[in-house]
Amino acid sequence: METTKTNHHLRKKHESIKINSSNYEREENQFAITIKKSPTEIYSFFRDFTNLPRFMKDLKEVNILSPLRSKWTVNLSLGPTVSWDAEIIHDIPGESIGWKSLDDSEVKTKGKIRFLSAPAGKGSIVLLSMDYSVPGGKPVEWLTKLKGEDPHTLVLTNLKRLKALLETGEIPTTEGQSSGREPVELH
Amino acid sequence: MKALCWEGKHSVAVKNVRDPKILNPHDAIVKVTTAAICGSDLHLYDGVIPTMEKGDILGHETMGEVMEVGPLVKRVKVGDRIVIAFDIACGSCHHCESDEFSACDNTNPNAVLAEKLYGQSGAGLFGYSHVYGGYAGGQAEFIRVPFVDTNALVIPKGIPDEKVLFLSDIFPTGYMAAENCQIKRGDTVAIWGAGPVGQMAIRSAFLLGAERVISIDHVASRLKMASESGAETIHFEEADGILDEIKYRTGGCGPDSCIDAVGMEAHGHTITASLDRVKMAVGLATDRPDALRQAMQACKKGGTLSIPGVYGGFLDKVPFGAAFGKGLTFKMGQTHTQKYMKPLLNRIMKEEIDPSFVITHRLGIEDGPDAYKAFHENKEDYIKIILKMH
Repeated sequence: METTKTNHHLRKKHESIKINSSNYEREENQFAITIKKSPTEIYSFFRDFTNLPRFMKDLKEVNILSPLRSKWTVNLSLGPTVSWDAEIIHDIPGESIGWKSLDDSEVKTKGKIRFLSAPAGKGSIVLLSMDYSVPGGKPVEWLTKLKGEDPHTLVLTNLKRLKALLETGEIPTTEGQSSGREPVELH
Repeated sequence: MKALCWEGKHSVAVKNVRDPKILNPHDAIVKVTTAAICGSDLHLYDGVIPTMEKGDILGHETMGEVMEVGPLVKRVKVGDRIVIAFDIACGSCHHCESDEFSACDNTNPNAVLAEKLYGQSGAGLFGYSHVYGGYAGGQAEFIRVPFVDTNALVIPKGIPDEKVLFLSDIFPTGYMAAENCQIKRGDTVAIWGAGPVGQMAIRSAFLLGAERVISIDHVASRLKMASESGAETIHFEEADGILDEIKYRTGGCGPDSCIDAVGMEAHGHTITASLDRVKMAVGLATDRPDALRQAMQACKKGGTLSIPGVYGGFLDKVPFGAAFGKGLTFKMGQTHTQKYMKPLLNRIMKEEIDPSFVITHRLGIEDGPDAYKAFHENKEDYIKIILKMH
């Protein structure tokens, strides 16, 4: 027991140093990525929620309803279109944004993104958590399981797509490329 | 178009597939004039690289003519003749800016999968499994090239394909392997594997100031080619104890640096090599690292081990104690091709080297399936195969 306790203590200490000196506690389903843009640039891009479908997989569109409210639509290949309204619950320019679905939404979801300066001029460390694990019945399963993606993979994938889009202006893809799995007759 | 597709272990087919199209704004579509089959393609042919899928278009040594460019392409123009790097780099991320192109952060659409296997994902590669992005390769009549401004070298008029095709992979790979040896003038470099990468490493080691190069293989024609490049040779099946022989030839010290240009499917005849075969066959090991083991044992104290040979997974019975005991430095990894293409083109244009010396066979796309089989079975005659696509 004593050993376990000590190890736990050391790990906690190490983790808080690794992320930043800001005592940022890791939350469930939260991942980090380093992006070669300033916190302000990434904040501005992300704060315009109509940009989110450009890199969030399966998110079809976000319509802005008011400065704090937006309507999110997910188009699923194996299911119907699912929509919910979300509201921004905190917003600190250049630092962080939090949002969640309205209490009466069919889909329960919440997310938070935080932007920290990376060391050595490497841009920003972006911390993203997107929680789809709130009990919400079938739509939540459509969002994740049907696409073969667990919530962790979805958050990581979305972070990588955000990074690629901001650093290069495009998201890498092979969808639509040629392959011998779709042979054609020669004309 | 026609393309060479991976159909499973020891099975490659010519298939009619859709022509590629622009998918992203920095893409180009290239009409392939010449492609080559790489020694590392044999790892795919042997089915030892995970995450290949039936129908994947093979090939990562490619050159051709630009037919179409995406709206954000700035440097490369329609009509340019280009050589295409085998690794796909974005040109913008932290690693690309540090000339570590094969470590690019942004080109592998399956990066999350790669991270599960390796902790981090490297760049996407053409025609080299889905864990490396699943990009369609260049053993086809046309190819889509992402981030063409970063991944293409424009070739001046008047230079034949054969002289520059290998800037796509094996010349930069052999050169980086030699550079990784940190050669000081007068050094002795031992190179396991006298295949095309080994041959390029031999010439590169001399270009970088090595006094002696010892080439180790068991294929007589390849050793002959190495010898013609100025290397001393050891046929490891004929030598009495390869390690003793290397030690004797280096005055008891061992080579200053060693290059493993063999990789995961070494054909050693030692006890450990036989065990590797058994373990791979029953899935207990993924790689056969016999060349690597010998290089670790042979290298001098404080020497450098450079590994351009491809490894995919978990290695068994690696003499790490020898590496630690002698304080070896290890340098390895996929080649940062884009860093080397232009300087090496200059060396070709100054006639310091003509990489086409490795070519033994010039074939067409229809010959592809037979070419893979022959390359796999007859290493005596087949050293480097190029395929004319148009």
